[in-house]
Amino acid sequence: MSPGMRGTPPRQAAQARSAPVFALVTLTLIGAALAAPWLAPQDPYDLANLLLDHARLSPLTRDEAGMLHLLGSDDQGRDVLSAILYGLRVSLGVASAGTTLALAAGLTAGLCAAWHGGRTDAMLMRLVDLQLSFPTILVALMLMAALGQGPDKVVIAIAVSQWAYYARTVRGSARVELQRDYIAAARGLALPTRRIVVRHLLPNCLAPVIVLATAQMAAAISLEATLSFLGLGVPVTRPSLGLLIANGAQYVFAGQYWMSLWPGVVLLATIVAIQQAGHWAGRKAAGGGASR
Amino acid sequence: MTIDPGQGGAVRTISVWSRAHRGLCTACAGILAAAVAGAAILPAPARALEPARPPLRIGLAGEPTTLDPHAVNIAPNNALAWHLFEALTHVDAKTRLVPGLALSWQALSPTEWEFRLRPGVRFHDGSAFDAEDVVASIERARRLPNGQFGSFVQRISDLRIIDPYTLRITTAQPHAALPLDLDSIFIISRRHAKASSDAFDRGEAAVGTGPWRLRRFSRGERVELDRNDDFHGVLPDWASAELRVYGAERARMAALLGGDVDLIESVPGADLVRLRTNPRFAIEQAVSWRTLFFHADERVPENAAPRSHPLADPRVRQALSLAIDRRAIVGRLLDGAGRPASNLVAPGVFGHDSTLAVPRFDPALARQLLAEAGFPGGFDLTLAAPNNRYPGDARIAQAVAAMFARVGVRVRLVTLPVNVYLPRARRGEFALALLGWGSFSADLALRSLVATRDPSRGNGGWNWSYYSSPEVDRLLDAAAGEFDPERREATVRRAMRQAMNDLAVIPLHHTMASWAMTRGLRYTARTDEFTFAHEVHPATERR
Repeated sequence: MSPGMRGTPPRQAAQARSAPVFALVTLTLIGAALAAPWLAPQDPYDLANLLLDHARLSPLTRDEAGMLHLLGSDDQGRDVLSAILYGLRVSLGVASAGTTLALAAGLTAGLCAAWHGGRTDAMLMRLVDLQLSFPTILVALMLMAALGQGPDKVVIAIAVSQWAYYARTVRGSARVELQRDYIAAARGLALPTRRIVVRHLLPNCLAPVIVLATAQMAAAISLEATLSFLGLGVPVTRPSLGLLIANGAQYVFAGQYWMSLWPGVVLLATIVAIQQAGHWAGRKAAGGGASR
Repeated sequence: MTIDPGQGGAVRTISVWSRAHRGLCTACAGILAAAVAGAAILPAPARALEPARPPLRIGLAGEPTTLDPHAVNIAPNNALAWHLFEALTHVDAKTRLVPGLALSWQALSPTEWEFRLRPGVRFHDGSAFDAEDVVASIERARRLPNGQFGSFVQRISDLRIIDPYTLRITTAQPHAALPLDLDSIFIISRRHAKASSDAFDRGEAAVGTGPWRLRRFSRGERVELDRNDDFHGVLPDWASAELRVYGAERARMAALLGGDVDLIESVPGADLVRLRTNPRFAIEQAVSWRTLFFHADERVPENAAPRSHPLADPRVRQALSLAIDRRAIVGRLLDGAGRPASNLVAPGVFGHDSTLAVPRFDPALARQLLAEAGFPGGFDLTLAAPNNRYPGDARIAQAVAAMFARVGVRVRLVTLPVNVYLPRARRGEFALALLGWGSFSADLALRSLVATRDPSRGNGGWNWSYYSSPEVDRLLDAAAGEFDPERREATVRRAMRQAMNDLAVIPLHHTMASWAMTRGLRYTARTDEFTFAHEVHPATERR
């Protein structure tokens, strides 16, 4: 049973109050990413737009063509604000594609393991154990080294390094659900296996997985950023937030902070907001579950 | 930017101790009988006066891949090899040829040279150096499977030992640049002539006559060196040194700023601007011998449509060259740490043709030439560059890709770590490939980079363009047989002019070599970009 509001520690109460803010920030960022082509003053992925004469302008300066660089420009003459908007698009796109793929794979494996039990279960779960014994970043690095660069490769790396979390979570809740009466009733009606799993079992296992997925989404964003920062992720001509930070980092010692700082702030905000929104959704879901 | 002329003189007055020691060594050499005893006993009290110093720590930009001096011909390896080994000839900080293990040399005829070797030199293991070691080293460089130094000795047809310190070298054709070529052949002990590259990496064969002995080699991380107290030249000022590898520019800068190293090479341009105003550090800078350029693959396979290989058309190469804004690359991207190039070798290097002009930046003309060549809508192209080899390499490639985009050439940009990049570029996988080349003589550079590919003669080994000009080949052959330096240089300049006018390569800029060090140290900028621990000195007091 969830603790009553009277007993809520102040920290949790504060989190509960700030949750809508994080949700709002998340939605704003997603909206900004989707609307990037209309919001951004420049298309930073069109190489023909990049002029070295407009490189490394500090924030709030105008270039010779009269364009205002609100957050400055980077070493190639990219408007930092535009690059952030487009980069956010890449970061969120790659992370959500990776998360979706991981979720699909994890759900399938987890349900399979729970339904069949026995040797299938043991094999799948040992595979999960094996994978979880490696640090995520190591798995992703090895994959990228083998696959090469590119956003599609990052998606695969994210999916491969994250599916195990979902598989384990789904298997746990599916095993609990399988003991319940409605499953026994469905079996008693001699419904086909696929129908029982997809229509009855799956929907009831979904809540914890969705919560996990939001948290993993934040992890996927930071994984993509890490890979790109290390130069293994997206191509240099289509930078994501992580690559923008890496590109600007070499100018930090020279005092030209803006190329790294602003993408960094946005990356941080994205990860924190999504994670907090996920937590909040998770607690809601847990509360909902208790009242069932 | 030039080297502070005041420092050239200072090099020769290092420290009281060092000068005293050198005098001492001269005295020892004079009294031959006492030499052995003297070297063993006398330096000891002298060294006791020297304050105990922690090792000299240097941050390197490039990773030495092996200690085998005859295996991989890349600058980081050669720089490290110069610590442990020597060659018959050396070049000084300004690429002038000076005696090394050979004291003097002369051409007896157009195809025969006599080298007089330095007597009394000992290897790190105590064995004496003589002509046998030179023969063994040249043979090994020639024979080593996949060795990249074979081209330097390819023209040698015969080696004859007259006496232990006199060696006659015969070349198949006249080859006036032989002494320069021999600067690239490191002399190993004949005891290790059959050693594998692994034996060098383990340290057991890494026995040279150089100023440092190897203590430890951790690939990709660091090299630890101890002073070779038996070195025949000026002894290093430090008893030990550590060369640490920091491939990333900011890691190298952080190591210097954080006090992990005393000196770094290849300082990023943007940081140079900052460091100049920081009283804790000193900067050394000079136009280096390295020129950055693109090879444009001119090959057209048989029965391929000509339009499928636009780079074979000289007008297209001309257009690409005109599309590059070299001034912006040097000024904006590199913060001035470079000089737009018209030649394959830097100004001041033998064979540089100063009548060649830096290619103009004229995107309108570039577009017009592309249209004339039949590509009004541009074309697609793969442009490749390393991302950890030359200062700003990947950023330069990206900027050039953007400049090409503005004349309609759509670029697929590939940037790779140098160890992945070089093999792929050598296999001809990229239409345009960035390369940096340092040479102290234009004929050597031209022979490797633009001469018609001919492995049997050691020509065109790095000719990624597959450019082939009978005229350039003829001029290079003529230069090889010309022993009068002035006439030879004139011939080399003509070859340079021809190759550059044909756009055998598309030049970008000459890089600026830079070093940053904690104040209190002094390093004379070397045109060849090498960082030598034995040439780092404590700064003399300035008032």
